[in-house]
Amino acid sequence: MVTEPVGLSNNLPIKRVMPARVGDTDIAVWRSASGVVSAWLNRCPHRGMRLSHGFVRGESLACLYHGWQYGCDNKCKYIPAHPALEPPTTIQTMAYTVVEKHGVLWVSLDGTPEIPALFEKLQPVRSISFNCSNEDVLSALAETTLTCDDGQVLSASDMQSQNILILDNPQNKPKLAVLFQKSSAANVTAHLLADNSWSIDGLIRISRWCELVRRRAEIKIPDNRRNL
Amino acid sequence: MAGLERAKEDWYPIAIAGSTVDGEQLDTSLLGINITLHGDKDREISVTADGNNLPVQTRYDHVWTTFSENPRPLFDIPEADEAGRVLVPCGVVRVKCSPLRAVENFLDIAHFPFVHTDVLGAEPHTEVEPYDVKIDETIDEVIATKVKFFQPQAAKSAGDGIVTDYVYRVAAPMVSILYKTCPPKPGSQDVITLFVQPLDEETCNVWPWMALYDYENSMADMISFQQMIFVQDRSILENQLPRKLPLDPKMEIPTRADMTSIAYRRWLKRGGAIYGALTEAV
Amino acid sequence: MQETTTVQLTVLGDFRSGEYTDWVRHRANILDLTGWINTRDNNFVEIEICGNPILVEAFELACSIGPYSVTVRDIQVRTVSNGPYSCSAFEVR
Repeated sequence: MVTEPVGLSNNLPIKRVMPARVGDTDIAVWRSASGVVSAWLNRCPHRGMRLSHGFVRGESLACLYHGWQYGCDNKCKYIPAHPALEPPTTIQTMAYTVVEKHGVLWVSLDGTPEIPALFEKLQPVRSISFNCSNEDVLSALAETTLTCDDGQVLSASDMQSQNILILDNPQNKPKLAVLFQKSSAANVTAHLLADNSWSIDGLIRISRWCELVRRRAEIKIPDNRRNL
Repeated sequence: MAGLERAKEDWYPIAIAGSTVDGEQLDTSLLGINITLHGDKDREISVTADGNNLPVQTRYDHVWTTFSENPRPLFDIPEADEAGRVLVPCGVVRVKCSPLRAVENFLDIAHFPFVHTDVLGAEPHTEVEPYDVKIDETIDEVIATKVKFFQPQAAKSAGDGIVTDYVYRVAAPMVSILYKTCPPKPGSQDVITLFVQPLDEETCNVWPWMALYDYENSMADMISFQQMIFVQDRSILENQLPRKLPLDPKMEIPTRADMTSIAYRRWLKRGGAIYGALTEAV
Repeated sequence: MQETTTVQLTVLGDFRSGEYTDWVRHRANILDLTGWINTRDNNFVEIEICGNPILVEAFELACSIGPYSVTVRDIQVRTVSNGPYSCSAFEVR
C-alpha cells in the first residue's frame, strides 16, 4: 500500500486544484468552496485532459477543455455542451483516498492511507521543490547541519522510510521531519514539519537551511542532466 | 512503425515559401526522419534526407515535401485562388502532442467558451446544436456541415456576439480546413486551415494559414490573433493523456458534440492512417 | 423526470474479433442505458438501447467506432418508442 504526502494543507486553499504524483500515477488534488478535498486520476473521463488544469466552481471541479463538472462525490454534475442533460451518476472520475492530517494531505492509491503516528506532534513549516534526483537531495542533506533554538545541532540521522527523513530522534520525539514526494527522476518535492520547540527565528532558520540544501543538491547535477 | 508507410505517401508543410535566403541550411524532422532544407537562389527551397533529394512543391504559401515518389495528390482549396482574398501564413507553433491530436482539436467547437474565453466563445452560450458529419467516400474526406456556435468576437468587425456558421473539411490526415462566416462580406466565408508537420508521433509543428476578406486589420494583427488562439490550444494539447490519439475511445466519453472527432478517428482507422495514433484503449 | 427514448441499431461490419459485445456493454454501463445486444453473425449485430436521448446518441456515436479490432461499416438507427422501457439492465442475448 502506497501512502504518499502530496502537499501541505495550507498550500491548497479553497477553490484551488494542484497536480501531484503518487508513484507513477499522475493525480489532481483539489479543495471545494466548502473545504472538501478530493484526489483523482489526473484525466478527464471525457477526452483525457489533465484535470489539474481545471477550475473549481463551488463544490465542483470543471475540466478546462470542455467544462465538464465533477462533484466531491466524483460524479459528473454538468456537461456544458448539453446544458439540459442531467448526467448519469455512472459518469465519474477515478478517485483515490485522500486524508488531511497534521497539516499534510496524504493520498493512497489502494485503500486507507497509513499515516505514521510520530507526526502527531508536528506542524507544517513549508514545502520546497528540487530540480534534481532523490539521491542528490539526500547527499546534500548529509553535508549540512541545522541549529535548534537550544543550541543542539541537528544532522540527517534516521531514514524512517523511503519517504521520510527524521532529524534528531532520541525518544521518538522528532524536532524536524522531512517528507519526500518524488514527482519524477529529476524532480523531488519535500514537505518540512517541525515540533513546537522552534521560535519564529528557528522556523526561519529551517526555511533558509532547506534552501541551502537545494542549492547544494542542484549543483550536483551535471549540466547535461539538468532539467530546464 | 505502425502507419509510417501510409504516412510517407502524403505531402507535409515544412516552411513558409520564400522564408529562406541563398545558401541557408535548416535541419528539421519529418515522421521521425531528419531532413535538411537548403535555401537556393530566388528564395527557392530544396529538401534532402540522408543526402537524397525529396520532391518539393510550393502551395498555399508553404513549402511541401513528401517521402514518396508517387505521393497522394496535395488537396485542393479552390478559394485560395479567388480574387480579393488576403492570404496569411501565420508562422509555426511547436506542440508536444500527436499531429492527429492537433487536427482533432481544430475540429472541436465545444471548447471555445473555456479555452478561447470571450473571443471564440463565452458562457452561458455553451450548447452544441446538432450538426451533420459524413465521410465522403468519393473525395476521401471528412466533412462537417451546419455547425453553429455563438461567438462574442468572431472578428474585429463584428460588434456584438454573432452565431457563426462553420464547415470543416479534413482533406488529409494532418490537414484541416474550416470555412466560417465572414462578418465584413455576407455570403462569403473566411478560410482558415491547419497544416501539420509531424516531427514524430508525439511532436508536431503546426502551420496555420488563412485566406480572408479582411482589408481593415494589418497582416501582423491577423497573425498575432491566430497565434494567440493557437497558443491557447497548445495548453490543452500538451496536457491530454495519452499523447497519441486513441482510435479506440473506450476510456473516453464522446457525446454528440464530439461527432466530428469520432468521424475523424473512424476515417483514420479505415484508411490505415495510424501514424500518431494508439490502436489500443488507454 | 427526464425524457426517454428507445432505439434499435443495426450494425454492419467485421466483428470476428469477438470484442464488440463486451465493449458495447461497457459503454451502455458508463452511460447508464438499458437494453440488449445480439450478435447475429460475424457481420451483423443488433442492439436495442433505452434511456435519455442525448445519452442514446452518445451511445450510437461510440458504437459507430468500437474497439480497434472491429470494423463498423454502417450503423442504421430506428426509433422504437419514446416511452418507458421494460429492461432494467443491459443484456447480452
